[in-house]
Amino acid sequence: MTGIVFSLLAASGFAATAVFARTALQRMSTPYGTLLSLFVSTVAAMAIAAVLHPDELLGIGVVALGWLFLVGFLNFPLGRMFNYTSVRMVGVSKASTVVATSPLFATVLAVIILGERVSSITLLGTVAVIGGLALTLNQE
Amino acid sequence: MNLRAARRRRALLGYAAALVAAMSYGAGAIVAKKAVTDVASPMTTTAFSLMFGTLVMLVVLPRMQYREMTGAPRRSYVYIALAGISGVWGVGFFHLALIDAPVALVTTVSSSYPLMAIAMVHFFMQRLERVTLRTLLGSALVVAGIGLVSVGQAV
Repeated sequence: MTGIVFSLLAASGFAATAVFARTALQRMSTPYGTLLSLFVSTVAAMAIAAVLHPDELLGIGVVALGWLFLVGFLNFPLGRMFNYTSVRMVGVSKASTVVATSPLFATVLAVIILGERVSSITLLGTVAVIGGLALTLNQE
Repeated sequence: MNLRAARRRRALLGYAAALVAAMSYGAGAIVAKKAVTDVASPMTTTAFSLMFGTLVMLVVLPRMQYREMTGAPRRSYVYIALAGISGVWGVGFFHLALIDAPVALVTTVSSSYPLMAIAMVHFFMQRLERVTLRTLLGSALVVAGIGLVSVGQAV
C-alpha cells in the first residue's frame, strides 16, 4: 500500500513539473528554463543526498561518476529539455501523453540490448499505447 | 506559409520533441537501473545525474540566452523553480516506491501522471490550454497500455 501511495505522489510530482514549466515558459526560453529548473533540482537533490548518504556522496569513484554522467545526459539535457520544448509547443496534456510512453521505449531497448523476451500482454499494451498516441496526435 | 500550416508545423515539431524526450527517458531508465543496482543509492544517483545534466546545459546553452536573465518576469522564475522542485519530488517518491513495491506496479501507477496533468490543466490552466475528449481518451489508452507493458515485462 505504501508503494502505491509513493507512486501516486511521484505521479503528482511529474504532472506538476509539466504544469509549472508550461506556465514559466510563456516568458522564458526553453533551454534557459531547463537550465534553471535543473539547477534548483540539483540543489534540492544534493541536500537530500547529503543528509541520507553523506559518505557515499563524498566517496564516489570515477567509474561510478561515468555511469551517473550517462544517466544525467540522457535524462536531463536530452529528456527534460525536449520534454519542456514539447510542453511549450503543444501543451501539457498532449506532451505528457506522448512523453509517458517512455516505458515502452525502455522495453524495446531492453529487448534489443538485453535480449529480454516479449510476452503477449506486453504486445497488447504496445497496441494500446500506439492507439492512444494515434488518438492524441491525430487532432492536428 | 499560412497560419494553419504554421500551427501544424509547430504541432509536429512539438510531438517530435515529445517522442525524443520519451526515447531519452526510456534509454535513461535502462542506464539508471544499472546505476542504482550496481553503482550508487537512488538518491545519490539522482543528485549526481542532475548535477551532470546542469553542467552539460551550462556548456551547450548559447551565450545570448543568458541575456534573458534580466528579461523574464519574476513569476516565471518562481514557476520554473517550482517545476525543478516538483521534478525532485517525483523522482524521489519514485525511488522510495521502488523500495516497497515491484517495479511493474510502481511504473504503472506513476505512469498515470498524464491523467493528473490533464486534471491540473482542466482546473488551473483553462485560460492557457483546452483539454479535448480525444486527448483525454488518448491519454487514458496510453496509461492503460503502459500498465499492460509493465505487467507483461514482470510476468
